[in-house]
Amino acid sequence: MNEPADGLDVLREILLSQDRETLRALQEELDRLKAQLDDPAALLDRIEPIIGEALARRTRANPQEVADALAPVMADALRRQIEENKDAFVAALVPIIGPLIARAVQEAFQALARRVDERIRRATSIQLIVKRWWARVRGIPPGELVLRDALPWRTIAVFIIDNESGLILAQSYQRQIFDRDPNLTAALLTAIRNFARETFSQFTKKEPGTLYELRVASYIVLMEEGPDFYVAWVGEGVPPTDAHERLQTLLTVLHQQYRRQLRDPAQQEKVQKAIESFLWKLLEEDEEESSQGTSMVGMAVVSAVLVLALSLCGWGVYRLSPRMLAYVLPTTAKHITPTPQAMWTVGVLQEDVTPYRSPDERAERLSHTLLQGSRVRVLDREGKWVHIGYPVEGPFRLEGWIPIQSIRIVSQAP
Amino acid sequence: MHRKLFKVCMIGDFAVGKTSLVQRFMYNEFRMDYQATIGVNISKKEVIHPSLPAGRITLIIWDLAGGEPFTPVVEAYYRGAMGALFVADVTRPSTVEHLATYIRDFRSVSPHAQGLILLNKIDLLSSSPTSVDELKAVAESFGMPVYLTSARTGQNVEEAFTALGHRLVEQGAYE
Repeated sequence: MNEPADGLDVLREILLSQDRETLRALQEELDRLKAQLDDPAALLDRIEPIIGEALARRTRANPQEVADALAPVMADALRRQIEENKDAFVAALVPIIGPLIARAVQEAFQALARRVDERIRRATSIQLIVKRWWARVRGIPPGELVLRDALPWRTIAVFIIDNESGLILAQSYQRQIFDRDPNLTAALLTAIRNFARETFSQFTKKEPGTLYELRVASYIVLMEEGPDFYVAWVGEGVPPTDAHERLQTLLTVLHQQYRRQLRDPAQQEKVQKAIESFLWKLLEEDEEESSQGTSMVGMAVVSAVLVLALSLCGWGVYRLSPRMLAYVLPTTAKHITPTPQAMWTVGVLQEDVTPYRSPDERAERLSHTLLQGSRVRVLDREGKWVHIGYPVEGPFRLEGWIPIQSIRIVSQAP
Repeated sequence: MHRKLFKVCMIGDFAVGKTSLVQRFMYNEFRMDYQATIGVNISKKEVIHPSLPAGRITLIIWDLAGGEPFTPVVEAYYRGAMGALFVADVTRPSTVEHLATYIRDFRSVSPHAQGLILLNKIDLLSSSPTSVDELKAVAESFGMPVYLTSARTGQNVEEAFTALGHRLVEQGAYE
């Protein structure tokens, strides 16, 4: 009886074996898929290659739906990420949004300046008319003048610092605002100047330049350098248009009157008090300029008087002007004959200049470089060369020849 | 009247302990981790001693990065210095030999400045006094007073800075 049964088994095997194999394969596939679903890492591996495309397709089809679905999750994830690792988040975002913000701020300021300009142009009030006129006189856009009034320059500290050692020779600062150690600040500032000067002169293969300005957060440090020491003027707001000229003037006065005392430790304390008055004078001038915005009508009256006075003195200007231009315009004479009166022609250097010993490009140069913006006395002119002396007043510490294009004649001084 | 404010440079190879010496002198502390100085660190410290004029002077200490070649930037940092502490590591004899170059470069910029040599990390070399004597002899050949110091234990650190202060004041008296 076993034979029929065996036969059935054989028959069953023949008929069902393929189905059983398929079923087993399906079961294995099902188990594998189930295992993947239960294992987040494995599921991620499977979904990752297609999730981008799927999300993109869904976003194209219904952007609002995707936004609504992702927003709560994303917002929570971002919040958590920012809380846990602010620095990394900022580091990642700044390169992308930093320039955008800067451009946006710049455009906003330009738009503001344009609106202010437009309002001033259309204005009919006396104050605004005077303001517009005053801006023209000073050669700056009216909008900038308004911003200047809105963000007045506030002096925080003025330091006289030795060029080489970085030690403070004299100082004046508002202790309630400037809470840093002045000596450390001066030394660090000098180190930064040294670094900037030497590093950039290496790059440019030119003579060392000078760091004129430093901006840190809302603080601005304006600097001007003399032969022995430099002045650092620390403040906030919009610096006066003639800030560097003021610093040059201060430097000239200090070098002329206090140079030796400042370098003598025995006299430093005594001279500090005397110098402080000069530094504060600089600050007071600053305050005067700030207050100019509030007394525009008074300024208009003063200006009108000045215009009247200038008109009355017109003939004098007419008589003096040819003499002033004599040093600038080419003449056939090789040397200019000194004027009978003690009149000085003063020029401002248009670039850093190392004067020559004689009016010849092959001539030896002096060891000192005069910086752009320095005021010098014009002594003579020969062809394309100008003979200069520095400083303008008092005995010259430096005298030499420079190319005429390096200087702009500004005035004659009594 | 004497000068009261002095610029002083810390000069020597990298990792000889210049910054650690300054930290020991400034804050009386020592850090085991090493952080290389980039460019220059500047600190201010008063040296108070009864023998000094008015009992105190102030040092502005320029702690320069070690092992830098003598570039114009380094030259600018040396400029105007009234004193220098040349630092070497007693566990690395080559750092003592290198002092000759540092001293020559520094002297070329500030010829009248005062100098002291500090052989640092003396605490790590207690087992072989002979080698210390040899290194000290090499250092003394550079013509400056030599101090064996340890920023870790504080040995001779205050003394070295105070000695430099005295030398600066003495020099200042003849300016």
